[in-house]
Amino acid sequence: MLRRAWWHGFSAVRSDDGYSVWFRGLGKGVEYSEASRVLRIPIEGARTKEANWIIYMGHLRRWLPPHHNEELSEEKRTQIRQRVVSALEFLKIKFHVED
Amino acid sequence: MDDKEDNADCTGSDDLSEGFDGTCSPSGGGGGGYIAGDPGQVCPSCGDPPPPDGGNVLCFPPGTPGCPGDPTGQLPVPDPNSGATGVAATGGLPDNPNAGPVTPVDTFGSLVTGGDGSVSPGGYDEDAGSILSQMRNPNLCPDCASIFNGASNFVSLSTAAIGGAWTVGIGGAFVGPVLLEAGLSAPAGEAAFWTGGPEAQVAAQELGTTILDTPIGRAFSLIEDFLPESWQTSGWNYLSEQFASSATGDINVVVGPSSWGGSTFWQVEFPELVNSSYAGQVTGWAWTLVP
Repeated sequence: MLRRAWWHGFSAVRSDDGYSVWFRGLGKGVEYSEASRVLRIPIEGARTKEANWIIYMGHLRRWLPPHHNEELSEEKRTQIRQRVVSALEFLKIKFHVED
Repeated sequence: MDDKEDNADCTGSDDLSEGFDGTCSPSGGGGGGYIAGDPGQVCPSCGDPPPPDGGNVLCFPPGTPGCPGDPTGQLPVPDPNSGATGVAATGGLPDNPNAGPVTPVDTFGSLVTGGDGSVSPGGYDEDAGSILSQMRNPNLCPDCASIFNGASNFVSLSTAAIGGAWTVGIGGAFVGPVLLEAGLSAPAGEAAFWTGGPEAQVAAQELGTTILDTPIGRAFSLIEDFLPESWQTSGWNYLSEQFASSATGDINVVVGPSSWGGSTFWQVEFPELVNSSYAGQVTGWAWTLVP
């Protein structure tokens, strides 16, 4: 279940499954956290009826340091992608995914 | 020089165009005038409006030194039939009356129009592939080939060594009035814009000053963590528009492999830059395509 994580501002959610997603904006993108691991997904602004942001899911590549050397399996990538999409929908953010 | 006399030689020619000096030259050989594909075209005289051509032609004023406001004939003029305008990139080619606004890479307007109802400058559609892939498809963008293969219609052509990307430079010769907003503008000739992914962003930041490199852009980036997403969206849209409208001199545009027609660049910044080109504030475009 997803809940708002207000201590991170207006655009963050925490899941009972132990991860959180923080939409930080153009400068820092979307941040996905799980345990002590964090990864960032780059974004770009958009201006259509359907989307305010472009989320570059194809750049789900590696954790941020110090876990940057750990392998991110395809299965894990798929899971993170699904979680991020769910979180952004929960936040009612209009976005377009680029893989 | 009597432009009308010189230009008369171009009339009706399918393979000649008017060059900077007002003489006819092989198509695409100059930055102004008309090029092949404009059958029956009559080259206008200095200061004359473009003639009605019946073929929906985007044309340039004659490149006659001394033409008011356009001494080299590089600035575009509105298409007399569709009202569409474009920057001096692949100008002179017929565009598609059913397509959206003309873009530097799609004067034919042949890149497919988005089916989702969104405004899509140049008529790009994500369902048909990225803008870059469409540009590389001669069936979708026949005039793009000239960009990739040498672009004789461009004033200058250069190759940038940025991660395998290359740059097409479009020179200009105008220095228009400059009105910069403090804190949200790049020095003249250094503004850089990007779309299509983080690789494009990195390349743009190497080439010049992006919105995130301006003091206001940096400041907004710092505080946006704590703003509602709707404020972030509105804020960046506003700042992007201001940043684009304040650009002067030559600009850099970096297009990444995932460029989407609905991006802030195509929807907000690009129209501003086209307007600025018209006004003579932006003098040249350098396009860098990141594969």
